[in-house]
Amino acid sequence: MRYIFSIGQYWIFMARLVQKPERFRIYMRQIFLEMDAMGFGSLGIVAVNSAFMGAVITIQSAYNIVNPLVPLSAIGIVARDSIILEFSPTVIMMVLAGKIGSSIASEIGTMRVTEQIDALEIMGINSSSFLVLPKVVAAVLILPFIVLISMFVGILGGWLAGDMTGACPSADYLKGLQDSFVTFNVTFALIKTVVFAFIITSVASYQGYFTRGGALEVGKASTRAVVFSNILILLFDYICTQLLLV
Amino acid sequence: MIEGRSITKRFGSNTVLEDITCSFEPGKVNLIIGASGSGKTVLMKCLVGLFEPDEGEVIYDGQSFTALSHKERKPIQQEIGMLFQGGALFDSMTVKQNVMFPLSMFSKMSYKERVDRVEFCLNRVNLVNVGHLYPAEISGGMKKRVAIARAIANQPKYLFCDEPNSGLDPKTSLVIDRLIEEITEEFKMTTIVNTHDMNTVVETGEKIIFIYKGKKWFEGSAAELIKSDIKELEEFVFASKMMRAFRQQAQS
Ligand SMILES: Nc1ncnc2c1ncn2[C@@H]1O[C@H](COP(=O)(O)OP(=O)(O)O)[C@@H](O)[C@H]1O
Ligand SMILES: [Mg+2]
Repeated sequence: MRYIFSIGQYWIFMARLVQKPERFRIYMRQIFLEMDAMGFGSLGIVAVNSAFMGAVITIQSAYNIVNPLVPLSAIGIVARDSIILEFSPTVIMMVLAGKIGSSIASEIGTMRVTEQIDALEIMGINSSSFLVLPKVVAAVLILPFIVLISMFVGILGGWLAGDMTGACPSADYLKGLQDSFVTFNVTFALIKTVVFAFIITSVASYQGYFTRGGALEVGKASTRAVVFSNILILLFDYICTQLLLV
Repeated sequence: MIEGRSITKRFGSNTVLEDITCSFEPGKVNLIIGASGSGKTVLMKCLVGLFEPDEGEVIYDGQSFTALSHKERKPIQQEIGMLFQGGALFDSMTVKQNVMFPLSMFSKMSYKERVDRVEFCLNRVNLVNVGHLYPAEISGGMKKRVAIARAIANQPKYLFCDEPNSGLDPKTSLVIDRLIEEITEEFKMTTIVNTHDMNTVVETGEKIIFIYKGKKWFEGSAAELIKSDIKELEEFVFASKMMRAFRQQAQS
């Protein structure tokens, strides 16, 4: 019962976002600020995660391929496809749900419990649109680039690790990378990224916006934001894969 | 004139306000007094439209505010300034940006005019050389003053203050009370102040409304309040020695 109420409340909240902004120029500035924070702010964590995951995927694939009939270049194919299809768009976005989602939920939640949202409303500003729309738009615009960077760094990490450990020599890895490359896989990954970016920002904003109480509840809202967006990312990962790949 | 007529507000099964009828006098500082949790903030938020009353209506100058749609309310809302209990300054903005914000959103002023107006408002609340600081970097009393400056930036007709001196020392409280009184007179506003501070009652009580457990028990002047023998007042107003002494003085 509470979940049905929440889902209804979420969609009403979303409907309020798409109303006409009061001052377009101020919205644009907010969008750029958010893009800067989400984009540059996430580069470090994304790069470190991607490099190590790429390395691990490569070494594990090499470890698993023991049949002498399977060429070593298969390691390059496996690393490339798992990074592009699943790792960068899904796992990295789950990591970002932790970083971006919790920060949005606690920012908006704090604004709620300290009455800053009431202060916006009393001025006649549509607070949900003013606070949330720039975040959603910024995430949808900037996170695909972050995911592209993650793919690049992940594949690079795999290459370096394979070469350094001797698990997969450079030449084989590079040959594998070029072997039967499907460009649609990248498009598919970016479509997923956009869906996940929307989920992370809207769910976190919703959790923050309807916080009631004090600092403790802000913390709880932030935790719920991460948990729910992770679950929804996995669910929509499955749905997108069924719809677009199968 | 602002009026509330038979306002009832519930949260789930919890009736927070019950059948409150009250009126606030133009050009004066009107007080809503009551203990913590008695419903002052909820009443104020019903008056300004942040909460919708479940029953009853709010009237601004003879026009029903409650009956209006969100869009139709805008012209009235532009005339309202509100000071929230914790200040509710935007953390991500400096003091100057906070005061400028309502001007940037709604006024047609040029940048230069806005800067001047911000300067004027900050000067009016006696704040100098703090414009570049963030809310986290200034004291509680200063925050309240910035919040007042922001509330009056757009020259409102109505000023609502929710516990303007909560969390402040007695001297700073007095400064804020005076300031609210002065600007009310100076800008000819109708001001409504929530408070549980008896000092404020003694200092500024022109028109007082007493709320106890969600119901209105008294409406009148400070002089009438002192003389009143309503039982509920004993639990709050005359719980303090100071107020009992005042009553004795008034009676003799
Ligand atoms: N948004 C809300 N949801 C549910 N209950 C609320 C809400 N806001 C206030 N209340 C309840 O209303 C009562 C009165 O609160 P309030 O008006 O804040 O008191 P005060 O007189 O101290 O300002 C309290 O019991 C509080 O729990
Ligand atoms: Mg209160």
